Amino acid sequence: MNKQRVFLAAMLVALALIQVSLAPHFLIGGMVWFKWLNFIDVAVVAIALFEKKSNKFSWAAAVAGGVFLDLYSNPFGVWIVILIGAVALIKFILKKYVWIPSYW
Amino acid sequence: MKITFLNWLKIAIAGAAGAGLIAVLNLPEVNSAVKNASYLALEPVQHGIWNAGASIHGFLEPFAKINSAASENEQLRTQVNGLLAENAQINDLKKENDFLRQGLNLELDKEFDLKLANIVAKDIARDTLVINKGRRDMIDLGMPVITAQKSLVGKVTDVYEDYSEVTLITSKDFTFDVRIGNGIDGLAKGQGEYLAELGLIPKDKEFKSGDPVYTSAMGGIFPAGLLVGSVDKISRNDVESFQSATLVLSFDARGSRQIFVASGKAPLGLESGAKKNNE
Repeated sequence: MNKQRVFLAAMLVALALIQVSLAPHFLIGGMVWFKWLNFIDVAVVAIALFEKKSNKFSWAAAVAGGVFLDLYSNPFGVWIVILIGAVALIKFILKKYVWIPSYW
Repeated sequence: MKITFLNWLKIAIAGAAGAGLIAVLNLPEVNSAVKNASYLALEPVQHGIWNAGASIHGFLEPFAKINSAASENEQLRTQVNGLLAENAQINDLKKENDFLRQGLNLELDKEFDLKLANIVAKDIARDTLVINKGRRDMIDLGMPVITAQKSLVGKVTDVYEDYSEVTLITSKDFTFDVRIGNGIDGLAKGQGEYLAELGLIPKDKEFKSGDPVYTSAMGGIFPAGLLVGSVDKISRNDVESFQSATLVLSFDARGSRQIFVASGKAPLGLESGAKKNNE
């Protein structure tokens, strides 16, 4: 479990670096969505969607991912709030409106 | 699972602590120190990634533009012919300029104190770059940032100990005075996403697509005579009292690796030289 967490944390750092240092070279004019829907957003949303209901790693990923994005953005904290909000929304929708069938 | 009062209390305390921490991290000194330390730790990797991105961008760019290559080729041929004629004129002017320079003992690099910096990152949501020169290297707020070809990139808007933040001229709401072609004043305005446009150009002034655009000393933001780009599509409207145009920038932040931070006075005669070339 700890190995998995370390791996995911390292992945977030790598994604943040790719986002700020590699992705800007491939921004095409007009792709406004690109700056909001970035690699860390996608990773955090994916973790929130696919982790077990009892698991809380997505919250930590939202905070860690938000911190990395906020290091390259102003004011500090905007991305943390956005990602925590996204995780909260996903968790709420999954809990209230989504039933995942279980066959075993 | 039912959330008890105790759990609500824990969530409220955690939220308040988080909000407090974010507030502290937004204090200028703390924010500057934290960002500087983080950039310092991550720079070796980031520098490599940025350079790799610039190389890949340079390799892929011709493929992305393959559709417009034929018409661009035609345009370039026309431009080359024009430039060859201009080049002959410039050579004459250069000889004259060298002669005058020797006479005046005027050296541009003495007037422009240039500091070479590597680009390490770009802001996620805005047109800003992080460069690896900061307060320690005498970088200060408002300093113009240019390329090796003396094309304007932007200005320093945040300075940390070892790093600085450069706001590109394409950043939204970034405006500065420019001079189009042979002396038409206008205003350049960033549009975000590496785009910019020209505005407030008097209606009675004639200029054409491809005319070079230089900075003007009027607004006091940049020294005069730095190349900004060239005029692209001109928009003339009977209803509006000014003309506007889109701007093709002369620098490409996506393909760039290094830039210069310029301090000191504007190079004397650079603007008049630019004007002369256009005339």
